[in-house]
Amino acid sequence: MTADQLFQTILHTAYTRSDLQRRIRLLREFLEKSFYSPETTDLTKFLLSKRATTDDIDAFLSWGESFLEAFNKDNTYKVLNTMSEMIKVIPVISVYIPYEPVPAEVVKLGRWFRKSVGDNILLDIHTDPTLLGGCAFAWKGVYRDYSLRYYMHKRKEEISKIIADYVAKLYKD
Amino acid sequence: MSIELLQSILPFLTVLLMIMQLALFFVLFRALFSRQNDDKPIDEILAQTKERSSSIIHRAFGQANKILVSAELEGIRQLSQEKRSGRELVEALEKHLKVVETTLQDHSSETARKAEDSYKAFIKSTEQSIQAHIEKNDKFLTDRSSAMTAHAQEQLDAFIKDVHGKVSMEVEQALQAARNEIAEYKQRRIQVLDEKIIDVLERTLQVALEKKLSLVEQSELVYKALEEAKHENSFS
Repeated sequence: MTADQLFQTILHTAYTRSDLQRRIRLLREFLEKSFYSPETTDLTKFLLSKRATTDDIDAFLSWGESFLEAFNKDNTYKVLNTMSEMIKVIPVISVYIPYEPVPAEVVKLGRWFRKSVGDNILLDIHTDPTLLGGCAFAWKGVYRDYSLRYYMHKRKEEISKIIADYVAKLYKD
Repeated sequence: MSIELLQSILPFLTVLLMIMQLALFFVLFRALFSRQNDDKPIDEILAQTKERSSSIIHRAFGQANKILVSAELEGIRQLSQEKRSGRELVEALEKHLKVVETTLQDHSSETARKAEDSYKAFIKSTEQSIQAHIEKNDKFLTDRSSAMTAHAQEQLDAFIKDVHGKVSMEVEQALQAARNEIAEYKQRRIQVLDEKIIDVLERTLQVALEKKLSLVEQSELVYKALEEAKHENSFS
Protein backbone atom coordinates (compact mmCIF):
# COMPACT_ATOMS: atom_id res chain seq x y z
CA MET A 1 0.00 0.00 0.00
CA THR A 2 1.23 3.43 -0.79
CA ALA A 3 1.34 6.31 1.67
CA ASP A 4 -1.67 7.88 -0.03
CA GLN A 5 -3.69 4.66 0.25
CA LEU A 6 -2.73 4.34 3.91
CA PHE A 7 -3.74 7.94 4.52
CA GLN A 8 -7.06 7.47 2.76
CA THR A 9 -7.75 4.48 5.00
CA ILE A 10 -7.22 6.58 8.11
CA LEU A 11 -9.14 9.53 6.64
CA HIS A 12 -12.09 7.29 5.85
CA THR A 13 -12.66 6.74 9.58
CA ALA A 14 -11.73 10.23 10.82
CA TYR A 15 -14.01 13.16 10.20
CA THR A 16 -12.38 15.86 12.32
CA ARG A 17 -8.90 17.26 12.12
CA SER A 18 -8.30 16.50 15.83
CA ASP A 19 -9.34 12.85 15.36
CA LEU A 20 -7.07 12.50 12.34
CA GLN A 21 -4.07 14.11 14.07
CA ARG A 22 -4.65 12.08 17.24
CA ARG A 23 -4.94 8.76 15.38
CA ILE A 24 -1.79 9.38 13.34
CA ARG A 25 0.02 10.22 16.58
CA LEU A 26 -1.24 6.98 18.20
CA LEU A 27 -0.20 5.05 15.07
CA ARG A 28 3.30 6.52 15.24
CA GLU A 29 3.64 5.59 18.89
CA PHE A 30 2.30 2.10 18.27
CA LEU A 31 4.66 1.47 15.35
CA GLU A 32 7.65 2.82 17.26
CA LYS A 33 6.81 0.51 20.15
CA SER A 34 6.28 -2.42 17.77
CA PHE A 35 9.55 -1.93 15.95
CA TYR A 36 11.83 -0.81 18.69
CA SER A 37 10.46 -2.50 21.85
CA PRO A 38 11.54 -6.10 22.66
CA GLU A 39 8.08 -6.83 23.97
CA THR A 40 5.20 -7.93 21.81
CA THR A 41 2.70 -5.15 21.56
CA ASP A 42 -1.05 -5.73 21.43
CA LEU A 43 -2.89 -2.97 19.59
CA THR A 44 -6.00 -2.92 21.76
CA LYS A 45 -4.01 -2.96 24.96
CA PHE A 46 -1.75 -0.26 23.63
CA LEU A 47 -4.73 1.93 22.73
CA LEU A 48 -6.33 1.35 26.06
CA SER A 49 -3.07 2.21 27.79
CA LYS A 50 -3.10 5.48 25.83
CA ARG A 51 -6.69 6.13 26.90
CA ALA A 52 -7.88 6.13 23.33
CA THR A 53 -11.61 6.49 22.79
CA THR A 54 -13.83 3.67 21.74
CA ASP A 55 -14.10 5.26 18.34
CA ASP A 56 -10.32 5.34 18.05
CA ILE A 57 -10.12 1.65 18.91
CA ASP A 58 -12.91 0.84 16.48
CA ALA A 59 -11.15 2.84 13.78
CA PHE A 60 -7.79 1.10 14.34
CA LEU A 61 -9.47 -2.31 14.27
CA SER A 62 -11.41 -1.45 11.13
CA TRP A 63 -8.19 -0.71 9.21
CA GLY A 64 -7.30 -4.45 9.21
CA GLU A 65 -4.01 -6.32 9.56
CA SER A 66 -2.88 -5.46 6.03
CA PHE A 67 -2.81 -1.80 7.03
CA LEU A 68 -0.29 -2.36 9.85
CA GLU A 69 1.73 -4.83 7.77
CA ALA A 70 2.41 -2.10 5.23
CA PHE A 71 4.71 -0.41 7.74
CA ASN A 72 8.26 -1.42 8.51
CA LYS A 73 11.32 0.12 10.09
CA ASP A 74 12.41 1.59 6.77
CA ASN A 75 9.25 3.33 5.59
CA THR A 76 7.43 4.17 8.81
CA TYR A 77 8.77 7.68 9.37
CA LYS A 78 8.73 8.52 5.69
CA VAL A 79 5.09 7.45 5.38
CA LEU A 80 4.07 9.18 8.61
CA ASN A 81 5.80 12.40 7.55
CA THR A 82 4.03 12.23 4.20
CA MET A 83 0.72 11.84 6.03
CA SER A 84 1.49 14.88 8.20
CA GLU A 85 2.08 16.88 5.03
CA MET A 86 -1.16 15.60 3.50
CA ILE A 87 -3.15 16.78 6.54
CA LYS A 88 -1.97 20.29 5.84
CA VAL A 89 -3.55 20.43 2.38
CA ILE A 90 -6.87 18.80 3.22
CA PRO A 91 -9.76 21.36 3.27
CA VAL A 92 -11.11 22.03 6.74
CA ILE A 93 -14.52 23.52 7.53
CA SER A 94 -15.18 25.03 10.96
CA VAL A 95 -18.60 24.05 12.21
CA TYR A 96 -20.35 25.73 15.14
CA ILE A 97 -23.23 23.88 16.83
CA PRO A 98 -25.17 24.78 20.00
CA TYR A 99 -24.40 21.57 21.89
CA GLU A 100 -21.44 19.29 22.57
CA PRO A 101 -21.67 16.53 19.97
CA VAL A 102 -21.30 12.90 20.92
CA PRO A 103 -18.94 10.81 18.76
CA ALA A 104 -21.85 9.39 16.80
CA GLU A 105 -23.03 12.91 16.07
CA VAL A 106 -19.55 13.81 14.86
CA VAL A 107 -19.54 10.82 12.51
CA LYS A 108 -22.99 11.74 11.27
CA LEU A 109 -21.89 15.33 10.65
CA GLY A 110 -18.70 14.13 8.98
CA ARG A 111 -20.56 11.85 6.63
CA TRP A 112 -23.02 14.60 5.76
CA PHE A 113 -20.22 17.02 4.89
CA ARG A 114 -18.27 14.44 2.86
CA LYS A 115 -21.39 13.62 0.97
CA SER A 116 -22.59 17.18 0.48
CA VAL A 117 -19.38 19.26 0.26
CA GLY A 118 -16.30 17.12 -0.50
CA ASP A 119 -14.91 13.59 -0.12
CA ASN A 120 -11.79 14.48 1.82
CA ILE A 121 -13.14 17.36 3.89
CA LEU A 122 -12.28 17.56 7.57
CA LEU A 123 -14.34 19.20 10.31
CA ASP A 124 -13.24 21.54 13.04
CA ILE A 125 -16.18 21.43 15.42
CA HIS A 126 -16.84 24.18 18.01
CA THR A 127 -19.64 24.53 20.54
CA ASP A 128 -21.63 27.81 20.66
CA PRO A 129 -24.81 27.68 22.80
CA THR A 130 -26.09 30.94 21.30
CA LEU A 131 -26.62 29.22 17.95
CA LEU A 132 -30.00 27.90 19.04
CA GLY A 133 -32.17 26.27 16.40
CA GLY A 134 -29.42 25.72 13.83
CA CYS A 135 -25.69 25.98 13.32
CA ALA A 136 -22.99 28.12 11.73
CA PHE A 137 -19.85 27.39 9.75
CA ALA A 138 -16.80 29.11 8.31
CA TRP A 139 -15.88 28.00 4.80
CA LYS A 140 -13.23 29.51 2.57
CA GLY A 141 -12.87 32.48 4.90
CA VAL A 142 -16.60 33.30 5.09
CA TYR A 143 -18.63 32.83 8.29
CA ARG A 144 -22.30 31.94 7.77
CA ASP A 145 -24.90 31.79 10.51
CA TYR A 146 -27.85 29.45 9.99
CA SER A 147 -29.16 29.53 13.54
CA LEU A 148 -32.49 30.87 14.81
CA ARG A 149 -31.02 34.34 14.32
CA TYR A 150 -30.68 33.63 10.60
CA TYR A 151 -34.25 32.46 10.29
CA MET A 152 -35.56 35.39 12.23
CA HIS A 153 -33.61 37.80 10.02
CA LYS A 154 -34.82 35.95 6.99
CA ARG A 155 -38.40 36.50 8.10
CA LYS A 156 -37.71 39.94 9.52
CA GLU A 157 -40.42 41.64 7.45
CA GLU A 158 -43.05 39.17 8.55
CA ILE A 159 -42.01 39.61 12.19
CA SER A 160 -41.93 43.40 11.85
CA LYS A 161 -45.38 43.32 10.30
CA ILE A 162 -46.70 41.21 13.16
CA ILE A 163 -45.17 43.66 15.66
CA ALA A 164 -46.48 46.70 13.74
CA ASP A 165 -49.95 45.19 13.58
CA TYR A 166 -49.76 44.44 17.24
CA VAL A 167 -48.63 47.99 18.10
CA ALA A 168 -51.33 49.50 15.88
CA LYS A 169 -53.94 47.36 17.51
CA LEU A 170 -52.59 48.32 20.91
CA TYR A 171 -52.88 52.04 20.15
CA LYS A 172 -56.29 51.52 18.59
CA ASP A 173 -57.59 49.84 21.70
CA MET B 1 3.87 182.84 -40.38
CA SER B 2 7.25 184.68 -41.04
CA ILE B 3 8.81 181.48 -42.26
CA GLU B 4 6.00 181.03 -44.70
CA LEU B 5 6.46 184.61 -45.81
CA LEU B 6 10.20 184.18 -46.36
CA GLN B 7 9.52 181.02 -48.24
CA SER B 8 7.18 182.89 -50.49
CA ILE B 9 9.65 185.74 -51.20
CA LEU B 10 12.73 183.56 -51.41
CA PRO B 11 12.51 183.06 -55.21
CA PHE B 12 12.35 186.80 -55.74
CA LEU B 13 15.43 187.33 -53.58
CA THR B 14 17.32 184.65 -55.42
CA VAL B 15 16.51 186.19 -58.80
CA LEU B 16 17.52 189.56 -57.48
CA LEU B 17 20.89 188.33 -56.24
CA MET B 18 21.58 186.65 -59.55
CA ILE B 19 20.80 189.88 -61.37
CA MET B 20 23.12 191.72 -59.04
CA GLN B 21 25.93 189.27 -59.59
CA LEU B 22 25.46 189.43 -63.37
CA ALA B 23 25.57 193.16 -63.16
CA LEU B 24 28.74 193.06 -61.11
CA PHE B 25 30.40 190.70 -63.56
CA PHE B 26 29.35 192.91 -66.43
CA VAL B 27 30.83 196.00 -64.77
CA LEU B 28 34.11 194.21 -64.01
CA PHE B 29 34.40 192.90 -67.54
CA ARG B 30 33.71 196.25 -69.08
CA ALA B 31 36.18 197.92 -66.77
CA LEU B 32 38.92 195.44 -67.82
CA PHE B 33 38.01 195.74 -71.44
CA SER B 34 37.95 199.56 -71.24
CA ARG B 35 41.42 199.63 -69.60
CA GLN B 36 42.95 197.69 -72.37
CA ASN B 37 41.40 199.99 -74.83
CA ASP B 38 41.50 203.33 -73.07
CA ASP B 39 44.52 202.90 -70.92
CA LYS B 40 42.82 204.88 -68.21
CA PRO B 41 44.29 204.82 -64.76
CA ILE B 42 43.20 201.73 -62.80
CA ASP B 43 42.27 203.64 -59.69
CA GLU B 44 39.92 205.73 -61.66
CA ILE B 45 38.38 202.76 -63.25
CA LEU B 46 38.10 201.02 -60.00
CA ALA B 47 36.55 204.00 -58.40
CA GLN B 48 34.05 204.28 -61.25
CA THR B 49 33.30 200.71 -61.08
CA LYS B 50 32.94 200.84 -57.38
CA GLU B 51 30.71 203.75 -57.65
CA ARG B 52 28.63 202.17 -60.29
CA SER B 53 28.50 198.91 -58.44
CA SER B 54 27.62 200.70 -55.26
CA SER B 55 24.97 202.48 -57.15
CA ILE B 56 23.74 199.27 -58.58
CA ILE B 57 23.88 197.59 -55.20
CA HIS B 58 22.21 200.54 -53.62
CA ARG B 59 19.46 200.39 -56.19
CA ALA B 60 19.33 196.72 -55.81
CA PHE B 61 19.00 197.10 -52.07
CA GLY B 62 16.40 199.66 -52.63
CA GLN B 63 14.51 197.44 -54.97
CA ALA B 64 15.08 194.62 -52.56
CA ASN B 65 13.71 196.67 -49.69
CA LYS B 66 10.77 197.56 -51.78
CA ILE B 67 10.26 193.99 -52.64
CA LEU B 68 10.68 193.05 -49.01
CA VAL B 69 8.29 195.66 -47.81
CA SER B 70 5.90 194.69 -50.50
CA ALA B 71 6.39 191.11 -49.55
CA GLU B 72 5.94 191.87 -45.87
CA LEU B 73 2.84 193.85 -46.62
CA GLU B 74 1.58 191.11 -48.81
CA GLY B 75 2.53 188.68 -46.03
CA ILE B 76 0.74 190.72 -43.43
CA ARG B 77 -2.23 191.03 -45.68
CA GLN B 78 -2.15 187.36 -46.34
CA LEU B 79 -1.55 186.74 -42.67
CA SER B 80 -4.52 188.80 -41.69
CA GLN B 81 -6.49 187.04 -44.34
CA GLU B 82 -5.17 183.79 -43.13
CA LYS B 83 -5.98 184.77 -39.53
CA ARG B 84 -9.45 185.68 -40.61
CA SER B 85 -9.65 182.53 -42.63
CA GLY B 86 -8.27 180.59 -39.60
CA ARG B 87 -11.04 181.89 -37.40
CA GLU B 88 -13.54 181.09 -40.03
CA LEU B 89 -11.86 177.80 -40.43
CA VAL B 90 -11.93 177.24 -36.67
CA GLU B 91 -15.54 178.24 -36.58
CA ALA B 92 -16.24 176.07 -39.58
CA LEU B 93 -14.17 173.39 -38.05
CA GLU B 94 -15.96 173.77 -34.75
CA LYS B 95 -19.22 173.81 -36.58
CA HIS B 96 -18.13 170.89 -38.61
CA LEU B 97 -16.82 169.23 -35.51
CA LYS B 98 -20.14 169.82 -33.84
CA VAL B 99 -21.85 168.39 -36.86
CA VAL B 100 -19.37 165.54 -36.79
CA GLU B 101 -19.84 165.23 -33.06
CA THR B 102 -23.58 165.27 -33.46
CA THR B 103 -23.30 162.86 -36.31
CA LEU B 104 -20.91 160.74 -34.33
CA GLN B 105 -23.22 160.92 -31.32
CA ASP B 106 -26.13 160.03 -33.50
CA HIS B 107 -24.10 157.38 -35.18
CA SER B 108 -22.82 156.13 -31.84
CA SER B 109 -26.32 156.16 -30.44
CA GLU B 110 -27.55 154.39 -33.52
CA THR B 111 -24.63 152.00 -33.36
CA ALA B 112 -25.18 151.49 -29.64
CA ARG B 113 -28.85 150.99 -30.24
CA LYS B 114 -28.13 148.61 -33.09
CA ALA B 115 -25.48 146.92 -30.96
CA GLU B 116 -27.93 146.68 -28.10
CA ASP B 117 -30.62 145.41 -30.42
CA SER B 118 -28.16 143.03 -31.93
CA TYR B 119 -26.95 142.03 -28.49
CA LYS B 120 -30.52 141.58 -27.30
CA ALA B 121 -31.26 139.57 -30.41
CA PHE B 122 -28.10 137.58 -29.85
CA ILE B 123 -28.99 137.06 -26.17
CA LYS B 124 -32.51 136.07 -27.14
CA SER B 125 -31.21 133.79 -29.83
CA THR B 126 -28.65 132.40 -27.41
CA GLU B 127 -31.31 131.93 -24.76
CA GLN B 128 -33.53 130.20 -27.27
CA SER B 129 -30.62 128.09 -28.42
CA ILE B 130 -29.65 127.27 -24.83
CA GLN B 131 -33.26 126.59 -23.96
CA ALA B 132 -33.59 124.37 -27.00
CA HIS B 133 -30.34 122.68 -26.11
CA ILE B 134 -31.45 122.26 -22.50
CA GLU B 135 -34.79 120.88 -23.63
CA LYS B 136 -33.01 118.60 -26.05
CA ASN B 137 -30.64 117.50 -23.29
CA ASP B 138 -33.56 117.05 -20.91
CA LYS B 139 -35.36 114.98 -23.49
CA PHE B 140 -32.20 113.04 -24.22
CA LEU B 141 -31.53 112.51 -20.52
CA THR B 142 -35.14 111.59 -19.92
CA ASP B 143 -35.13 109.14 -22.81
CA ARG B 144 -31.76 107.79 -21.80
CA SER B 145 -32.67 107.51 -18.14
CA SER B 146 -35.98 105.88 -19.10
CA ALA B 147 -34.13 103.41 -21.28
CA MET B 148 -31.57 102.82 -18.54
CA THR B 149 -34.30 102.44 -15.95
CA ALA B 150 -36.15 100.02 -18.18
CA HIS B 151 -32.95 98.12 -18.88
CA ALA B 152 -32.03 98.11 -15.19
CA GLN B 153 -35.54 96.95 -14.34
CA GLU B 154 -35.22 94.15 -16.89
CA GLN B 155 -31.81 93.23 -15.53
CA LEU B 156 -33.12 93.36 -11.98
CA ASP B 157 -36.14 91.26 -12.92
CA ALA B 158 -33.91 88.73 -14.64
CA PHE B 159 -31.51 88.74 -11.69
CA ILE B 160 -34.35 88.33 -9.19
CA LYS B 161 -35.83 85.58 -11.33
CA ASP B 162 -32.46 83.90 -11.58
CA VAL B 163 -31.79 84.26 -7.85
CA HIS B 164 -35.31 83.10 -7.10
CA GLY B 165 -34.78 80.09 -9.35
CA LYS B 166 -31.44 79.29 -7.79
CA VAL B 167 -32.71 79.78 -4.27
CA SER B 168 -35.78 77.69 -5.03
CA MET B 169 -33.62 75.01 -6.55
CA GLU B 170 -31.18 75.07 -3.63
CA VAL B 171 -34.04 75.06 -1.14
CA GLU B 172 -35.67 72.21 -3.04
CA GLN B 173 -32.36 70.35 -3.12
CA ALA B 174 -31.82 71.00 0.58
CA LEU B 175 -35.38 69.88 1.32
CA GLN B 176 -34.92 66.81 -0.83
CA ALA B 177 -31.61 66.06 0.88
CA ALA B 178 -33.27 66.56 4.26
CA ARG B 179 -36.18 64.34 3.22
CA ASN B 180 -33.74 61.72 1.99
CA GLU B 181 -31.71 62.01 5.17
CA ILE B 182 -34.86 61.74 7.29
CA ALA B 183 -36.05 58.77 5.26
CA GLU B 184 -32.62 57.17 5.54
CA TYR B 185 -32.52 57.91 9.26
CA LYS B 186 -36.03 56.56 9.64
CA GLN B 187 -35.06 53.44 7.72
CA ARG B 188 -31.92 53.03 9.83
CA ARG B 189 -33.89 53.52 13.01
CA ILE B 190 -36.51 51.01 11.87
CA GLN B 191 -33.71 48.63 10.96
CA VAL B 192 -32.06 49.13 14.37
CA LEU B 193 -35.42 48.67 16.09
CA ASP B 194 -36.06 45.53 14.04
CA GLU B 195 -32.62 44.24 14.99
CA LYS B 196 -33.28 44.96 18.63
CA ILE B 197 -36.73 43.36 18.49
CA ILE B 198 -35.28 40.31 16.83
CA ASP B 199 -32.49 40.18 19.41
CA VAL B 200 -35.05 40.39 22.18
CA LEU B 201 -37.14 37.74 20.54
CA GLU B 202 -34.10 35.59 19.95
CA ARG B 203 -32.99 35.86 23.57
CA THR B 204 -36.55 35.20 24.65
CA LEU B 205 -36.73 32.14 22.44
CA GLN B 206 -33.34 30.98 23.61
CA VAL B 207 -34.44 31.21 27.21
CA ALA B 208 -37.77 29.59 26.41
CA LEU B 209 -36.48 26.84 24.09
CA GLU B 210 -33.15 25.97 25.67
CA LYS B 211 -34.76 23.82 28.25
CA LYS B 212 -37.41 22.56 25.88
CA LEU B 213 -35.35 21.37 22.86
CA SER B 214 -33.81 17.90 23.15
CA LEU B 215 -30.48 17.04 21.59
CA VAL B 216 -32.26 15.11 18.90
CA GLU B 217 -34.42 18.09 18.09
CA GLN B 218 -31.39 20.36 18.11
CA SER B 219 -29.56 17.90 15.85
CA GLU B 220 -32.49 17.90 13.47
CA LEU B 221 -32.45 21.70 13.43
CA VAL B 222 -28.70 21.61 12.70
CA TYR B 223 -29.19 19.35 9.68
CA LYS B 224 -32.12 21.43 8.56
CA ALA B 225 -29.86 24.50 8.71
CA LEU B 226 -27.11 22.68 6.79
CA GLU B 227 -29.57 21.64 4.10
CA GLU B 228 -30.70 25.26 3.88
CA ALA B 229 -27.08 26.36 3.47
CA LYS B 230 -26.52 23.71 0.83
CA HIS B 231 -29.67 24.85 -0.94
CA GLU B 232 -28.31 28.40 -0.96
CA ASN B 233 -24.97 27.14 -2.40
CA SER B 234 -23.10 28.37 0.67
CA PHE B 235 -20.52 25.58 0.28
CA SER B 236 -19.52 26.31 -3.30
